[in-house]
Amino acid sequence: MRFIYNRSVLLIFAISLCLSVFSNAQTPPKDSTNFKKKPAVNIAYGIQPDWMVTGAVSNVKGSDIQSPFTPNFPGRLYGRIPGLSVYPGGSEAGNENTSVFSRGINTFGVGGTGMLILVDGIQANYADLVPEEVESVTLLKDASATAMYGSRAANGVLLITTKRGEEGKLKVVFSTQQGFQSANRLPQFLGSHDYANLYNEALINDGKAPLYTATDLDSYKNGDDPYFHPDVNWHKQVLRSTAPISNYNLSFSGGNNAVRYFVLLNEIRSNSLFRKTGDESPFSTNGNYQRLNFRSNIDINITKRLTANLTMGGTVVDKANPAGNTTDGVFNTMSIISPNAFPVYNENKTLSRNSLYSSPLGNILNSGFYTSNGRTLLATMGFTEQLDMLTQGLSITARMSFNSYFLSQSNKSRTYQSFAISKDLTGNTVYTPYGINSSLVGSEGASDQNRSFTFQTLLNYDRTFGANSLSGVLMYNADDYTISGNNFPSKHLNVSGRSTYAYNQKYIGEFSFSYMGSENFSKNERFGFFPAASLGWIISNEDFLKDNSLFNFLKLRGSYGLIGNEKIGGTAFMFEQYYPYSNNYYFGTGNTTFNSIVQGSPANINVTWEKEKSANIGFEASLLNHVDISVDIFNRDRYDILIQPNLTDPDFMGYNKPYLNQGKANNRGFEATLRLHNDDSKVLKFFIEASVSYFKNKIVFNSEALQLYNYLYQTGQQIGQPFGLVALGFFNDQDDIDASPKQIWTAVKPGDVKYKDQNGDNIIDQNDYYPIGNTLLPNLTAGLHAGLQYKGFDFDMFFQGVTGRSVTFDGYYFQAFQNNGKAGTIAINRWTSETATTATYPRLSTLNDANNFRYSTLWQYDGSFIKLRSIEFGYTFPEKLSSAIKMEDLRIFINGTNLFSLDHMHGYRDPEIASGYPAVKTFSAGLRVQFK
Amino acid sequence: MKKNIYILGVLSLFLLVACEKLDREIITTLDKNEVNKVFSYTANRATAMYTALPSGFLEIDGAMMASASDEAEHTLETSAVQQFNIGSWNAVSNPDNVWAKYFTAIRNVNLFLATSDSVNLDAYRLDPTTSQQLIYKNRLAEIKRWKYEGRFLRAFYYFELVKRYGGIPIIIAPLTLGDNYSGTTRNNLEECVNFIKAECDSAASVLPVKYADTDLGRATKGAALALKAKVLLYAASDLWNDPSWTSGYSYPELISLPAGDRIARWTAAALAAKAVIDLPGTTYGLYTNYRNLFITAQGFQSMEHILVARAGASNSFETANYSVGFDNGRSGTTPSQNIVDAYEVKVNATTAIPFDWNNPKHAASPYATTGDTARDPRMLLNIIVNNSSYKGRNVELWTGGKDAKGVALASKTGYYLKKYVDESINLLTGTTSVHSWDLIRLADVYLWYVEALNEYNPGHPDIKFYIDRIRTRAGVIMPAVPVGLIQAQMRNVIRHERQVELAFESHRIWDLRRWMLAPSVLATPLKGIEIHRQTGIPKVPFTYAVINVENRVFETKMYFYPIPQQELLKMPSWEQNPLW
Repeated sequence: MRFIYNRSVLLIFAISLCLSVFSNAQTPPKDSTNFKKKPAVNIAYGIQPDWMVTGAVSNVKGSDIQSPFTPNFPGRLYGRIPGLSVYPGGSEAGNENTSVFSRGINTFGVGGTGMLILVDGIQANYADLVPEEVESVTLLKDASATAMYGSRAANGVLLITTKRGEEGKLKVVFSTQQGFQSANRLPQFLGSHDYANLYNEALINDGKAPLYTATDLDSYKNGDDPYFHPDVNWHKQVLRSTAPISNYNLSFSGGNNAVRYFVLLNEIRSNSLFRKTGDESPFSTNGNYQRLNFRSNIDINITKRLTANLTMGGTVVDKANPAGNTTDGVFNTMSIISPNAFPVYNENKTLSRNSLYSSPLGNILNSGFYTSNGRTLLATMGFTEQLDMLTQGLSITARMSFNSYFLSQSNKSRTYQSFAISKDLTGNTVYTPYGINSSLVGSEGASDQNRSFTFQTLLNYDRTFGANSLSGVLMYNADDYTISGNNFPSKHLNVSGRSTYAYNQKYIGEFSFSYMGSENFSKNERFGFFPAASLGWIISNEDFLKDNSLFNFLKLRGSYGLIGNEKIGGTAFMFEQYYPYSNNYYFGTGNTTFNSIVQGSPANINVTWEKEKSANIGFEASLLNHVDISVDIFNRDRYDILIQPNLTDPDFMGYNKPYLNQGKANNRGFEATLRLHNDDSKVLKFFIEASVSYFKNKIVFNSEALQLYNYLYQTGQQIGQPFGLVALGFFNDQDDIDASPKQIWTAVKPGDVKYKDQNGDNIIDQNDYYPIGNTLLPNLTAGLHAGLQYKGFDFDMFFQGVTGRSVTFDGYYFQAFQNNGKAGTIAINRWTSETATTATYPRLSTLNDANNFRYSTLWQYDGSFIKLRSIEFGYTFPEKLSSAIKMEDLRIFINGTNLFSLDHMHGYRDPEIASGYPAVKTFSAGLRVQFK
Repeated sequence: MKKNIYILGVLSLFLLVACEKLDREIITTLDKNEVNKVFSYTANRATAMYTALPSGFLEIDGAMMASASDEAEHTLETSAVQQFNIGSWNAVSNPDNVWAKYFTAIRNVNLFLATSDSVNLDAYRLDPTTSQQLIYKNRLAEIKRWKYEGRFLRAFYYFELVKRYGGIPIIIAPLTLGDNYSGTTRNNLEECVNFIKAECDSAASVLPVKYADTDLGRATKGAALALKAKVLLYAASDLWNDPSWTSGYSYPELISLPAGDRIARWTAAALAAKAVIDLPGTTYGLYTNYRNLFITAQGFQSMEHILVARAGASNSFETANYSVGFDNGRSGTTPSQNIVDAYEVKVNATTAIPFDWNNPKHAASPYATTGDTARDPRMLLNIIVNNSSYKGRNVELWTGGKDAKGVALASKTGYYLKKYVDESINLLTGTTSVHSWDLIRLADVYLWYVEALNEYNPGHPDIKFYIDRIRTRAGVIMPAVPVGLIQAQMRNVIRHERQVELAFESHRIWDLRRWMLAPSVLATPLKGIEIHRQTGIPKVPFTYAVINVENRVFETKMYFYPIPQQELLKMPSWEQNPLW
């Protein structure tokens, strides 16, 4: 099938060439029948003039998101596009795993929440793009804007369009940016003296004898016994305070009436915050992330009517990490090992450890390292032929894309020897060896690859007859995606179309549809029809508003349609009855392995995609030449979400419950943008843009297992609603405990957390879990973008604020002594009989506490924050000066990224990054030169 | 004309690509026909029926069931097994929630019974040559045997449910999505007992006494008879004959049998157990190495095993249970002072007395292996005690030692588990070995027999004979049971022998329930030992102090597990078990 694509493209090329040769005899087309050039907006499979857009579409220019300095492209989009939620999965270069959501989340359970993200119309990795190669990022939000993507549309579509050359002389731009990153907030743990004090207190609370004597405590205080009374801050041992980051960019663009080109080369390098272990040990490497981006977009006018477009972009990513594939393991151990557990090095200069834990520093120095090399290439070849000779305004485009990703990974590992120290009866140091030194063993087997082919043919029509303008597109798309490992390849086939009619630039009507199939569903259920319609009314073009001085522009628009989400989750091809291999069993005197096969959960023969009825109403206005306003409100009803029939089918039936298309969810909200500007000023230019987006979703139906109390149901709550206990404070004394409902998890003592009895049965148990707080994903995201230009100086800053989210303090940072961990500084305010009235932290215990660390309001914090995402000062040298040194444009700037966060975390953690590699802030300076 | 060419050209473009097919390209799974018709897949489905046999190694959230009894304490406080000990389990949250697991296993058997006759053997059936006809006959016989293996296994799974939940619905058809279940009710306990008994009888009539070496481990006639003996022993024991603890529960038939002739029930239990012991054609016998009986090859090959849950080689059990003082160990299940104290002191070749902390000689050397304070050898074969050699060094369980309290994750009881744990595993290099969980072994059957016999025919010579056999196993050699014990004394001897011989084998919590002793035994504090080493003087003994490790909770309602809340909510006509 793949060679069919290749063949088709050649054929198309041949036919097009033929056609153009024939058509040369025809009269050339008249002047464009389009309206005069207006700002155009990228929409599904095309562009539309701004005024004609009737769907909900927001966009941001590539040049507007250059200011944050990060290797991660989605990390530049925080708060920038109204309706787009951006959520980080980490902060280590190359492992950010940033998720993006359009208008929040509108499915639950196994349903996939991922958006459709297209780079130049093709599904591809976008996280590695650099803003210098991006023309614009467009979010398609409502059914009207996305219907052409059919069953892939319901989670929203993000279109990324790369830059292309324009007619003009050669433009060479070089820029570089150099900076350093540092951790924003490292976890705070108690030092040995405080740790030992609190540990003794915890032991006494547990009814045990204190472990540390007064002499021990003195030693910790004085630091006079670094081997048996150490005080180690592992984060200081393993991390350095700053790590460099740099970027170099070189681009060429220009062209004439025959060829236009945009060529770019970019290198970004971000060093890890780990200390440079590769320089210290032959068994390690320096943590490093390096990426090369290249792009070459070329447009060629082959004949008067035939244009060829070549789009080629790619990346090469090299990663090296002393801690393995991810750094979570090292950060975990650093957060567990108590400061006095063992020194970094023993007295005899060997690496130290104890029976339970090896040294995190030793691990990154001596246990091998991870390197990887990833390559992506996205190439599209397309031809557009004007078919004016058939009918005015008709053209046909055919294009084929190839997207390939390959990642080769290398894990080199070894074991090493380190020593636990103890004292024997006579006081001599005894070294107990753990582990053995082995040779570095590499495993190169792990690799990862995927590739996709896309073939598209589009028939475009765009013509104006007097006051009527009619445009339309009919397109055919076939794509197929192949992935390595045990994953299934996937395919789509669809015919989509859109037609737009506008009368006198006042009234606009649009209809779009997709007829789309996926092989993931049974033959009878395979294709679906997704229509959407929208209307627009440009009131400012009506006679009664024509001459008013207030409105420069005013448009009302509304849309309604049906779209789908094929990322339904669960097993692929679930319309078939599966008989999976199950656990092996063993028979025979030799314990021979026997395979076993069981019947999987009953087939869901009618399995289908999720569907959504989506409505949107909005208006856009420009006032007084300096104010732009845009508002959208939406309502989305999602249904056919996969859920298991837990409400109905008892377990004694014995089958695994299948997933059925029964779930329902609703999501509503709004986006609003206000922009003040004086773009036309010659001296002091400024703008302030504020945007806010809000969504509130709800599970309408989920076949949940029956609950004893209504508040235990997730149905009716927002998707992902956390359930926890409501903490009332701490038990004051035994009388308080006796007078309170029994908390079943353990025998509580004074200072333990007291919970609210939700059902009044005088027992606190699973039935007292209550919907508390919010999800991690904020309901409300706001952005404030401001900039000004005065003479050569320019200034730009961007704040992002969110609210309607909750953050939980859990894990080793916050749970003192749990799972043999240490204690964070938060434990200082623990409950004791003296501090009973002011304590904010429960009584300490060395045992794993089954009561105090339950998910409750005590550990849930308001996750709202305001972050300064970027700030930049620049200076552009006067033209006189720059042209003297043969430059057309010379600008220098300093930049700060993620410099601070205002939040409710009390400084204990970043509001977004919970643990692992810390959130970073970046200071940098750079220069940009455009050569003559 | 030209126009037509264009139109043709444009149309051909669309036609060209319309040939794209939208079918899945690779199929990595089996379909129903293949699974039901192909002999080897049917064999795989028969194997799958075994996979639900319980393995007690990491059974309850990484802990052994022993940690829910007076035998041990699990080191990790967060393991769900602790819920049993503090009494915080209920119909919503049960750490041993096997309801769905066994009903899934039962449906799996039901489905096999309903579909295993559709195997296509035409290739052999239609070929008249003798060899092919022989294969045909053998395969038919094999399919028949699998069905009876399945019926035995289904009975086994039913027993696992019945001993936990009492009467439950007996389902012998493979239910599926859309089937009407609203009329399903809980069968009463007597019906469940009769069902299990009848299924065992019919399985025993077909299953072989022994298998070829390659099939060792499949259900035998002996296993079927043993399961019947076990259910009959439960049916004769106190708990299922005495609903008085329920304080007037209206549905006693769900958790007890109708009042009847206890003597007849004990007799039936004894005869059923004796039938296993006397089963002709077997090589059942007590294995001569008590420690090796539970590790590696002997763990499934020994002549003592009647039914074993098999598994592949691994080291996860050692990772969980090696002392934290050894590389990568996590301490896991640590034996209690309660079980240690239960092991007798062998004064001489003919006399054994209970261990007593008040006896200064006992208290001075509680772990003696020789002399007149030597402990029952099974203690040191099952339990790692202070200063005993393990993995090349002496285990340091004294305060300040490498394996003792003070070290994070060290044993809270002052002991580590030796039974089942393979000492030769190296967790650093990742070596593994086979771990098999014994479900029924001959010593267990002996003790069923003597327990039942003692109840209706005290003084019968078989009682002393079979207990002494266990006590005088090679490598154990404990003094014989004294002669002339009255019934009540013998009852205690038998119960004590079960405790020490079958320690950590997941029998204790069910025995204590069956004897209705659970409220008194399981609600007493779990004990451990605190050991101090006299510093400065070499070779000076240790001092010992018994400590409370954990206060335990057992309420009478816990005799039976509560039916999971979810099932009750879906089945409004069902009754919850008493007092829950």
